[in-house]
Amino acid sequence: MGIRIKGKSGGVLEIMMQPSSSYDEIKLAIGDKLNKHRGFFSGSEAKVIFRGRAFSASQRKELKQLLYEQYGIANVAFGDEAPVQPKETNKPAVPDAGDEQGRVTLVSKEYFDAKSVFVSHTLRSGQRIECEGDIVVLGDVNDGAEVIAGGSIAVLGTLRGLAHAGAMGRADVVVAANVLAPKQLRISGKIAVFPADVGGEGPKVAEYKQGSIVIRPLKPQSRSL
Amino acid sequence: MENVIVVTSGKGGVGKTTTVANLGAGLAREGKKVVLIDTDIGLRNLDVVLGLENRIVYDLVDVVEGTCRLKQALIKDKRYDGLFLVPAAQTRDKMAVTPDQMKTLIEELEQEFDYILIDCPAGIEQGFKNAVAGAKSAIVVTVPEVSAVRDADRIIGLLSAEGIDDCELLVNRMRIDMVKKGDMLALDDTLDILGIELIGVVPEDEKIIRSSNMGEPIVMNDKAPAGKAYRNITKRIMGENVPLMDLNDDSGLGSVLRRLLRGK
Repeated sequence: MGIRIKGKSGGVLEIMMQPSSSYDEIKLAIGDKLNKHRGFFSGSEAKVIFRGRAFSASQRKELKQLLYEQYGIANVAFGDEAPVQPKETNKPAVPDAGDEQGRVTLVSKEYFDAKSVFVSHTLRSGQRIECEGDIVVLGDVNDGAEVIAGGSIAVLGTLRGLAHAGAMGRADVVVAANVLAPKQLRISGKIAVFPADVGGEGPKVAEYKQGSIVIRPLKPQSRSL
Repeated sequence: MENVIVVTSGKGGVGKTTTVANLGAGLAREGKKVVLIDTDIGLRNLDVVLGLENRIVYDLVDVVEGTCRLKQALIKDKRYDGLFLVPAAQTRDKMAVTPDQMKTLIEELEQEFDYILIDCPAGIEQGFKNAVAGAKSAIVVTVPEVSAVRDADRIIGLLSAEGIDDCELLVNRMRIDMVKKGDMLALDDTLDILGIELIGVVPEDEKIIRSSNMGEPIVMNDKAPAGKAYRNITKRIMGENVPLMDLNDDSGLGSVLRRLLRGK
């Protein structure tokens, strides 16, 4: 049957299963093992990640319910969704906290609520939009506003605020804007402090190439990005 | 502009209180019955700027706590028929009033007054929340400076979240000579970023300092440019279409402003 349970730092419990195990066997084994590990869970920080075997949507729902009702665990993730937990992290991933090497901490998918967001108005100072996929803003992003995306960002207006594309670590992303004039741009964790004038009129695209952020005018291209 | 207007900015010191005092006096001058409410509890200023500080017996906190009747807290300005003030408390703080209490107060005042102007404190916390509760429109005051404009942008977003979408911008302390030299944010850029209609531009005028100290709103001064600007804004609040003052500029800015005000 081969169900192994590994405790990781930060109250995370990884449940490793064989693809061949039956669903009912797994449920039994989980109950069994979790009862032994009860002391491990400390309220809201407890997190369970299932790996190695796919579950259907209804099975996932059932497991989540079971874990919540029996053990008070609300935070449950499955296989491909959950990134591999690092062996030792004392600090929780604080998104967008910069360091001296010009990088910010990346976040995991669990951080986001939405898959993609389409904003049909200007973002004002103090407003923050985040999602695991792409973000389109039909308007400006004003200074003091923040757009954080796991995917790419397109601003059909003037980008004056903060944009972070590839916030989970993807590098195949871009930040595009009609007027690219942010105070700071971030792609895949890398920070670029914007020069006073980038030069050139017209829409621009910022991309991540070989460890740095490069900016080019947006011209129609026959091949894909 | 509706009849209950909050004057706010986010940034401190850009001229909210001066604006409330002058627009209040301006509306009274036009024959309207106006009440001004100072919601900057703990740091009250509206009473000083109007020259009414020595007549305060009861204040806003006394009214909401039921210590006095509303009528007892209203200070009638002896210079302008129809101008009244509800002063803030100085020895309490902004937690002494709640948004619900403000709404109730404004409902009561609306029955008696043509216009209610609310002087909002700087910031976005409890003071702001109290000031916007019950307001139907907003005048966002800013100066042509990047930090003030960013704060104004934030405030406009927060006003929208509170359901106040009728917001107009007042650009205060404008110095055309500095704009021409590139030392001050151009009006065009300001309006571009903030994206709301302009209710008026008040030029920098050193006579304001004296008028504040003397407790005499500059709107009464026929010779002061700032006074004229406030009189024009007063008329725009009442729905009149008043062209922008010529702020001594030949840079084409005037035509830009006139185009932007065309909607009025």
